[in-house]
Amino acid sequence: MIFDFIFLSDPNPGFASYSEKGTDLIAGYVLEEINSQFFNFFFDPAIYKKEERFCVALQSQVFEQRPGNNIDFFSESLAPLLFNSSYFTVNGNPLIIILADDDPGKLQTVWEILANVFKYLGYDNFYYCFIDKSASTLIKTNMAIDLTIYDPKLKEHDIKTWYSHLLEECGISRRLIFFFQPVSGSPTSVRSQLMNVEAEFRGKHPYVFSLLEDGADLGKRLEQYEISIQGLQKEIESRDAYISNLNVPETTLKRLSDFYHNEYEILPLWYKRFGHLIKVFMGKRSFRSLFDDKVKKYKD
Amino acid sequence: MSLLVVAHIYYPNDWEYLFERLLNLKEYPCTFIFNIVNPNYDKAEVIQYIRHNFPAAILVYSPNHGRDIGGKLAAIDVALKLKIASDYTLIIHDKQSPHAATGLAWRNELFRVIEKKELPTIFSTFAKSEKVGIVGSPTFLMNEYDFSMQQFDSVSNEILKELISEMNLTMTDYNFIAGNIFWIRSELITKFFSKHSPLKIRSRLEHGNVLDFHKGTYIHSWERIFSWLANAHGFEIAGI
Repeated sequence: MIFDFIFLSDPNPGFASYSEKGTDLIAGYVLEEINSQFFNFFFDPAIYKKEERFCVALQSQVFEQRPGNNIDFFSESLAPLLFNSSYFTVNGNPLIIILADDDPGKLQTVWEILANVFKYLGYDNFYYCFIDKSASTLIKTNMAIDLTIYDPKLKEHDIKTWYSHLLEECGISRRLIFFFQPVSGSPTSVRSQLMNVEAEFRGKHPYVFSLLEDGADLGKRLEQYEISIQGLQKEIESRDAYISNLNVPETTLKRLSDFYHNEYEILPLWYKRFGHLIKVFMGKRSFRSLFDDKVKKYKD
Repeated sequence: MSLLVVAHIYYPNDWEYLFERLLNLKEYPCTFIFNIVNPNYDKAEVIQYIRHNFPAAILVYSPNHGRDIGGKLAAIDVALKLKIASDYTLIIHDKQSPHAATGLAWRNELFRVIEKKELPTIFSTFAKSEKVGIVGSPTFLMNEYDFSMQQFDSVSNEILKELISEMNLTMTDYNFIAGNIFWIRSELITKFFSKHSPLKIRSRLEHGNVLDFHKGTYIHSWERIFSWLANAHGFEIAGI
């Protein structure tokens, strides 16, 4: 498919519904609480071995249920998910979705907890999307990507009509679509409907479709460049740190030089020469090299 | 006998040296956990290699925090939460030490713990003596503690004392394997890190490529504490 779709699904009747294979939708696990069901599902080697991308969409009440040391609890609970190699990232940074009411005070509290959790886990950056859970609209995000939210319960059009209109109107840019699970319809059937719409659109507007594909591809390439820029910046910082350490007297280079001087250089010349003869007797150095600088000196 | 490998991968180059040797462990029942830094930046080749040669491996993508110690703690946290059982755990990373002129020689010596010919000896050392808690290269077995002065000959002296007190560690000696690459009885890892959260420890480590030439660091202190887990629980370090 042209765009990245995050398929937001209610956990009921159970997490098993997410294990459908053969879709390239990103699973967006909607979580109302962090409980034993959560731990059983995410703290399982099986989820680490799957390569299907996923992310989490936390209901804001999750953050209200945990008074006290929130940061420790959420860091400990979320780390195995965020560290999972299949966790969805944008520009190399994890994305977390919060389904909330549009209440600035509560949003600020949740944002502060999240910022502290990601800091605790060592992240320089992370992306968030606060989505109004009743209206299914975007409240705020720090992502510079076009976002679309589709909730079949709230839209007057069916999936096909909605997606056709989107393809006609969306323009050429990278787009992330948050797709709430319809009342009936598995990820596989939704994907199939979306693919059919794309096929129809391609038939009707082949050039426009090709441009959309190019636009999405360009967006992904830009993302890779963004990751490269961040990586190169870190590399420069790292090299600068090493270089600055080479110039201080405590470095191992200085220690090595001191060691060489103290253990070898201060010995008398006759003793050093005798040492070279011992090397020849031990077979470590060639005999001819004692008289000729042009021959190979050491055997290893 | 079951094994666990906790490996931290930071460098994009020269990883073959480590992985060619890790292949030796596939002869044993072994779970591999690879913590990979910057996976989307410069690790495409090594990830492809892992997926091909270690298809059952668990890949952990944690941010670069606390150098190899932070990466190993993140992987240990995953191992504990996923309840991966094992008898012996290999703690290892793709050591290069570009700041040290003898960095590669240091690595090669430490990597003897994954040389094919050494593995049976290592496991029989554990099996023969219940007192052995860690097996590693004796060449880099170090001890900075001065009993007469009651302090460490290290810039991290203050931090080490703080952590020993905080973690309630009691040791009869302070030997550690410099370089933090060795085999350890898994029960020591489980016992200690079930009480002290690996992530909490990791959250206090320094960010970025920190060296301990000028001042003490939590990273270099934890490098020592990893080895002390043996002595603190009544075990010894054995050389190969």
